[in-house]
Amino acid sequence: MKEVLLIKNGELALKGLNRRTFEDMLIKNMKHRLSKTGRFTFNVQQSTIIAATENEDTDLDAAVETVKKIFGIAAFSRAVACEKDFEKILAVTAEYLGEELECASTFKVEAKRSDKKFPLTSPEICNQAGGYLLDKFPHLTVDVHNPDTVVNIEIRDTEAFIHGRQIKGAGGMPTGSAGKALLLISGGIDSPVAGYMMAKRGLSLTAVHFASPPYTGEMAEQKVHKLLSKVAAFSGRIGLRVVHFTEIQESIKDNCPEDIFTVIMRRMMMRVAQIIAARENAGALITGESVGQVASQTMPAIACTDKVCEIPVFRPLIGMDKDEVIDISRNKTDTFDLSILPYEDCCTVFTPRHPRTRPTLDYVEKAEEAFDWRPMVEEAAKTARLVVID
Amino acid sequence: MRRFGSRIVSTAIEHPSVYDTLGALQKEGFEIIRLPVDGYGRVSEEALYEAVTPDTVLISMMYVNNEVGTVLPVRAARRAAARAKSPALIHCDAVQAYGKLEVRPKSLGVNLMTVSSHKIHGPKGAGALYVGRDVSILPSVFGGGQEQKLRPGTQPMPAIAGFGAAAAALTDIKGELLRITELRDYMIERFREEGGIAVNSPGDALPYITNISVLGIKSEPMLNFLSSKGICVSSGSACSKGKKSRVISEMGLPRERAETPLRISFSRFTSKEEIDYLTEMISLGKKEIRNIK
Repeated sequence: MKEVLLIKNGELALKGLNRRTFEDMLIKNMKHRLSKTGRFTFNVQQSTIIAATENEDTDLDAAVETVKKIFGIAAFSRAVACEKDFEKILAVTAEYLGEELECASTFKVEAKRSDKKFPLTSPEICNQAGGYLLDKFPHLTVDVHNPDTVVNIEIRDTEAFIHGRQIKGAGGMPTGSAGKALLLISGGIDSPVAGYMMAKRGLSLTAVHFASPPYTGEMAEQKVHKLLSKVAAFSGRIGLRVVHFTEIQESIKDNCPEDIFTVIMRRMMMRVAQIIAARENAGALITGESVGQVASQTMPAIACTDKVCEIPVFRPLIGMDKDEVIDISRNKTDTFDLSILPYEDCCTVFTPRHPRTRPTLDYVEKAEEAFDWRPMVEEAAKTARLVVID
Repeated sequence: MRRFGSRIVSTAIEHPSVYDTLGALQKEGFEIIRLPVDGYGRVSEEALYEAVTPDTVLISMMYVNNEVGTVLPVRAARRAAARAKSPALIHCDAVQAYGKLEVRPKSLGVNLMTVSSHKIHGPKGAGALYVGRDVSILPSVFGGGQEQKLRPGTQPMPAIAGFGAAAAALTDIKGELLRITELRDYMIERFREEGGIAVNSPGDALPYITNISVLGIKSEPMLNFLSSKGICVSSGSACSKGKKSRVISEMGLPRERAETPLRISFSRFTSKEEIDYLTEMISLGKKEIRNIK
């Protein structure tokens, strides 16, 4: 039996003339991501992408797990292809879905006929296939409203496909279809979730991490690698730039008022990040900020940080509660357990005891001129080290 | 054990392997008394005598604390049980003492004692539980007949053989203890000259473990710094982001010492030159790392 994956691209179907571009991008992503599992061929038929294996031995279970994490797919099915001969279709259905039907007590048949030359209409296919399966599996009863399992028979132009229930996809838009953005990742709970959410909207990711040895250790950076590789399972390859941030942080601490240490630090981070973003053709920055979460994320503090940004800063978590973020980090990105490993990171070094929650721009701008940060920012961006996360 | 009572006496500074096991027993209904410690991690014998009651069934006390090197009054446990006319069994976690002090279960008056291979340069993954002749314990895993049916499972022969070899290779314990004590005293003298370093271990600690605080510098940056210079010390436990070591917390040290502990461990291979290098690097670290406020 020849098994394939039938992929429904959901939101993409709503696109107008650009639809092909989006589909091509999705296929390109799938090709790349599935390349570890095996070689696949793709063709598009009536808003469904059919992914067929070139090699019989390809591990389709692994392919299903990979496809679950590819953005731009609303739902997909693992199906078997069959000649468009109704007798054969029935036999293949009983064999292919036999085990699933054995385990169910109710079922229904759904049919789709896009090849109108096929002699039976969709309702006729449902009827006859239903009757056949009831004979074959006498323990079953039909339930059209709430069946344990659904038998799908699709009669398409070239062949017929038979499959059980659809598998939910990751949703969103194909990675890269919306361009590229730079994720600022610290090692906490929020930033990996923010990266995941923007990748879901079609952004491909590149990332920057600020390391301040010896205040932060090797373990903290390793943790970021691991977090990003979880995100990369959804977004595809991520180029991480590790910025040596010690001197800038020490200079802020030595020269600026303690109560706005973090705000000034974030402004410096944004400046370094923008230089890297420009170099990498990233059109926006992504952060895990959420209003009011900590002193540097109050509205006035964000306003001070934002002032130094000339490209958009995407903050997908801005209106979310910590619980909601944790929920995604546990159930979608699977990053929670890594995030809570207790290593000092750049954001916890030198944290002031009493940070100012309502900094004014005037105060911050004056305070940061206490040292000559411009060459340091340039240098930090220039010397950032590349780590490719796949 | 429940026949005789449900009270277990232990200390607040046990290793998690004991501390958390007692936590699990607490959930099963045992009453767990964790004796407090003073600023040097010492447990008072009087507190022990008071805590042990006729219905106490187990006393579990470590011989040497793993973070500060404090030697605990294990011998007093037997006296405490006798005075209270308690049937308590006495367990001693002697992992840190084994190979460094004389550990004779009988002279210590303990019924059960645990030691580990990796602390005496043996392979990881092997350890030993001494079970006194007068004690019968029940298995908590079941299956094969290995280890007198107490802990069935195929034994890791290489680890066990390695443990045996490491034990056989232990040199003169008393002589070594004298040498290490001299080294420790030398190190503390060097630290005193350097200044700004507080010693958190008591003067009569096992000299193999010394806990210090480089005042004003948090553990983690100093650890990272020393690590980059090829020196392996630890902060006593995974502590950062304000999560302090339990042992250090229990000692009730002031903040400037509670956030800055470093544990320095010696072995029979430690040399004077290494101590000089360590002192030099701590001194350098003090200059390079910014103080906390």
